[in-house]
Amino acid sequence: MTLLQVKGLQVRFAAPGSGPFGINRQWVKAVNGVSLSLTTGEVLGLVGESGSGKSTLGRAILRLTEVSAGQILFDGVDMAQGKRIDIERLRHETAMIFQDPYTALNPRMSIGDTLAEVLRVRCAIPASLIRQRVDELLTLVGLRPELADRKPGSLSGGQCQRVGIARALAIEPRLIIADECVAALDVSIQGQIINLLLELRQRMNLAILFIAHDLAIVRRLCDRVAVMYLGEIVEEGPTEAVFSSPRHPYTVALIQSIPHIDPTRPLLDATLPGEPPSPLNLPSGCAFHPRCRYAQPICAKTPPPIRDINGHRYSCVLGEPLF
Amino acid sequence: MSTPVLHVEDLSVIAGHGESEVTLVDRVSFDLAEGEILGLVGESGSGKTMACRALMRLLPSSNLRVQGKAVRLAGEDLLSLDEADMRRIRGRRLGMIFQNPGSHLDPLMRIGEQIGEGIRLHQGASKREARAKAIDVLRQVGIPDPLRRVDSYPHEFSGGMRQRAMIAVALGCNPQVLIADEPTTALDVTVQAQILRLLLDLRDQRGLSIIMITHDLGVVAQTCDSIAVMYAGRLCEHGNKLDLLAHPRHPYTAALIDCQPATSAGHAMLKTIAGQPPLLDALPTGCRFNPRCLQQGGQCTQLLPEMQATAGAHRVACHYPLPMGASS
Repeated sequence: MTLLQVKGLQVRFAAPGSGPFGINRQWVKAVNGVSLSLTTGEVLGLVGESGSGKSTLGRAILRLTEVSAGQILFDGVDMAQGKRIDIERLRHETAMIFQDPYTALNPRMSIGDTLAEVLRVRCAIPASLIRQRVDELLTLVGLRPELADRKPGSLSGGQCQRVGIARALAIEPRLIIADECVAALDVSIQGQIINLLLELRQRMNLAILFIAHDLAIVRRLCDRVAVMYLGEIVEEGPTEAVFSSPRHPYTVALIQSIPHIDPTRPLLDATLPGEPPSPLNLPSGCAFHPRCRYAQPICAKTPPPIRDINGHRYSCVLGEPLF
Repeated sequence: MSTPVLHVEDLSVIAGHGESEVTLVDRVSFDLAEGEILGLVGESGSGKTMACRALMRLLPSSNLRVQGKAVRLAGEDLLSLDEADMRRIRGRRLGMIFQNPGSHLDPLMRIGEQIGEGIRLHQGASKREARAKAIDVLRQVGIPDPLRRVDSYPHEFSGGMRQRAMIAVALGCNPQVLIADEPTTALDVTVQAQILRLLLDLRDQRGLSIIMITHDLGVVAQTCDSIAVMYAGRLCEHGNKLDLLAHPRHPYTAALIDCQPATSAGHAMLKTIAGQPPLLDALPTGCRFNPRCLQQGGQCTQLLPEMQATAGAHRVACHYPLPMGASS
């Protein structure tokens, strides 16, 4: 069942303009016509370089950022035009996990109180049952219930991230948006959090939008993956199809840049020259063409066609697989 | 191997005094040869950065003390130097770059001046000479259009460019050893590949020796010659990269390699290391890894294992090292 469907979503921010009183105002197109869908129980990975608009897209879906155009259908209701009551419902059924576990929690509140607050405000649970539910949530994410009286400062990064996940799960959401939720953690702890998400997904049939820049983790965790570049999704499809036969030159470069633990594999020469251009001034035609080694004259003129091979979609003039 | 450029013997960093004394880095020893890239890996809080800052004597607090038998840079003992002499070494013969170039470059100073400052201070160059040298270094680190960029401010650079600029600042005086503290952690994978390539090229061209602090074993595997693994303030294994990754002898190294989310497919659970690193003021008795270790013997909870040579230059601090050839 399709839980979330995003159609042609655009988010733009005003950049300080030049001229008197900033009269020549410019707009940053952070998300530029993105479409994607997510079914119940599915994990969709969203990858791309910093500044590609991954986080903005995640926040826009939860209406934490103003949407400029497009539709966000959650359960068939368009949240982009949603009334206050619709957005209330959206936030009852969706939750977000943030990158930095320390700053996402209130340092002056014990983690038990943090969880209790969510339960009291969102779930209308009788006060007498709250303590019990807090203990259940902590156990669910693998923390000892005794930790409920501790403040975030006395917990480790991995423990704080588990609290962040417990808080997201408190409202029993149907959709979780996890924004780089393991990027700040050590590898040994990263694994624990990823395993927890895998387990919870199975147990609770959660849909997860997993925003990350670590492709190795995405490959392990996600059913499908979408690659973003400068506010657009350039390739999207089943994880294995995208990783084993990437079609878009940008995806190829991303996959080749993953540092591999096999010491006999040499470091490749710069897989992708340069850095993403400013989103203030997007290149014409295909936004990737200035960095693309396969660029043809037509790439600078017209946006590339969207091709679809058994649900593996990509937008590029090249028809043949690259490797 | 000829005499090492850098010889570190029993380097310790101690915080506090008397009863409340905590050892943050405990008797770390290693050698670094000319043109060698040493990867220093370990979880956060394991003392990687602290050990390297102790080498530079750039400790973040006056409450911290450095002890050790010897730290010799090309034969000169750094531990016996006073602060004024140490200043001559820092920047000129020992360079350091950091994880976050944005916060380690002066935002109000042009890039060229930041590179030139060290050159004028250490080499007595004139302003004009320093500027010419700065342009030259910017070109070497792959900044396009260095004649114009030399007058830019850090905020005009992108993240990858800023990291290149910081490398240029560190290289201004031709240091023998460069300490790179998580130089690519804050960068995107594609830019990370560019910076790693740059460091390898600099090593090949100048014979620069590099200590690369990182937590990413993938980065280490692709760039370093040797690897040293730290856990809870102590070195637990040190050896040639190929040896150490193929045949880790310390259970912690083996576990660390196992829990990489290798680029293999499938929804199988990731391997993890149960528990967490110990707090340095509440260390377990015996081996510091013993509460999380899967292969324990009688001595593990009794005696702190010391580094011992196994085969060749491979050293390990474990009472019951994994057998050779037990690849993970």
